Amino acid sequence: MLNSAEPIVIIGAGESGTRTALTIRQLGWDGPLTLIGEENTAPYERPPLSKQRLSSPDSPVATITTASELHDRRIDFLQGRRAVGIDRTSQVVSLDNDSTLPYGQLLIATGSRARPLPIAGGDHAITLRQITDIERVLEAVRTPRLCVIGAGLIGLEIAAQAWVHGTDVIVVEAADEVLSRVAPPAMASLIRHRHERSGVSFVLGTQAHRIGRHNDQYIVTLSNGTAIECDRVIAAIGSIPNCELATDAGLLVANGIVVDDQLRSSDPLILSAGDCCSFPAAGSHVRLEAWRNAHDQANVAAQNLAGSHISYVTVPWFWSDQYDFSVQVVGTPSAGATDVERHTHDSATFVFSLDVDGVLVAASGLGTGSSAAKTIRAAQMLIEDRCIVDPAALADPTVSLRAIRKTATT
Amino acid sequence: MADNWVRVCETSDVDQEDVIRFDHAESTYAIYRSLDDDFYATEGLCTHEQVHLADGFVMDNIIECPKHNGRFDYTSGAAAASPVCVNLQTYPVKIEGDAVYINIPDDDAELR
Ligand SMILES: Cc1cc2nc3c(=O)[nH]c(=O)nc-3n(C[C@H](O)[C@H](O)[C@H](O)COP(=O)(O)OP(=O)(O)OC[C@H]3O[C@@H](n4cnc5c(N)ncnc54)[C@H](O)[C@@H]3O)c2cc1C
Ligand code: FES
Repeated sequence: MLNSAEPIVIIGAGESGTRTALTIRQLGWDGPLTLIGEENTAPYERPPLSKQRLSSPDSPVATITTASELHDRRIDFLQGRRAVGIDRTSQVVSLDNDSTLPYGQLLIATGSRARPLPIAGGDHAITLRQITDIERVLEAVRTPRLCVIGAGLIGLEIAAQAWVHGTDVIVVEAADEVLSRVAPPAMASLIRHRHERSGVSFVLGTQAHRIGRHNDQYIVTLSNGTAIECDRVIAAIGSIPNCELATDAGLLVANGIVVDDQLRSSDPLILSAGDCCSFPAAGSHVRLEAWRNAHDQANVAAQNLAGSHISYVTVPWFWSDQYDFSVQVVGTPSAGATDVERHTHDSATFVFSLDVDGVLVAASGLGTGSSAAKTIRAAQMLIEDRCIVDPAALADPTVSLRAIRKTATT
Repeated sequence: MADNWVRVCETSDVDQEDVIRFDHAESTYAIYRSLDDDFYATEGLCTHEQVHLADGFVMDNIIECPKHNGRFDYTSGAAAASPVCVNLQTYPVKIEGDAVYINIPDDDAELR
């Protein structure tokens, strides 16, 4: 284990930073450990912000840990403090109160922020990233008419929650289908139909051009010339990684802080994890905005900060909850050449994506509650092992994926 | 506490390395069958968010939650991987003939 006297400093107290701090202590590393978080609250989970927080605003905030637990583990938690600079020569982090913190090793886990809408009047649109955004979003999902710009996961989750409140929702999306970045077309259209059955309308293949304001009403003008009148506009068009500290410190940054398989940046004393880092996967570098990635990278970052040399290997996975169903996607659907559908008796639907060699590269499942989870988890193992899978077996709901795994070839 | 053996299912209702849900007296339980054909029972909901563990994935002695992949050792109930940190309650299991029974203390059934 590394010299415990060299302080470890973590910038960002979200999923990745906080889990890293907790795991470092679980591993028995007992040196000075500081967690810097600019948000003025105990570390919390972000996914419920577009789910339970909107349906039951009074439900308790899902905290990752408490200030007292951090204190008990001798993690110096600087709540409400922002890191403003990294001096790599003298190995210090400077803070927004003009103080400095020396580091032996540093983890940058600054996450990402909601992408602002780059159009005239774009600042009229509300975005959702942090707990302090919730009040404005809650008010918006309870207005009579809501326009959501962006049909990604967060946009659709917000649309589903607005429907629960009886709001008329119209979703504008530049691509020709919803969820085009993350789900295969068959799954995406199934999800869109579910929204349409609830009364949510979609304007696809169309961009919002400008947002005008009249008293307390908004007019969203679209690229096709039409205008949408509404009471609030929410923009959910993806996120931008928080890399400014890394860029200013001269680290390699390209759509995220570039790290190697051990999550080390171009400076080996500085690691990065979570939404803000771009890591090697399948022959290139990728940046994910997914909870499990942030969680699992924290685990690897903690071990490597404590002196190990472990590689981060992953198959991307995420879930989303909308209405009474949950979607799970594992792997990279865009790498598929053929899609195979499976429909089960309990009305779960799966789309399996095979590449040109017949290797399973992604699986997407949609069902009530967590009913799709078991199959998706088994599919993950097939994807990890790069198995060639018989499409007929994948389509047959009576054949379990565990059984397929026993006979699959690699 | 008096024994309260409740009949759950036939042994053949649970696949090897799998788990099913069992609801009884307004409570929900998870019934596991290991690769060695041993049966185990725990409370039915994950201690992180209230999600049915029967939708989860069984590997060796581990149940992985379907929601955020938190893990428990289902033979002891011990939390084994974050984000879960609170252990699961376990229940004694017995097999009579082809039937699986779990022992749910009366007051426990009322509590849950
Ligand atoms: C509304 C919403 C819903 C989501 N739902 C899902 C879902 O259903 N499924 C899923 O897989 N993923 C979901 N995600 C994504 C998931 O929450 C993120 O991938 C995860 O939070 C990333 O963790 P992180 O630690 O990298 O970043 P973050 O959680 O963003 O944490 C970074 C922290 O660093 C702080 N910080 C930044 N700069 C500084 C600085 N200079 N000094 C100090 N602190 C700083 C930030 O304020 C923030 O608190 C959702 C995200 C959002 C916003
Ligand atoms: S609900 Fe089980 S791990 Fe979160």
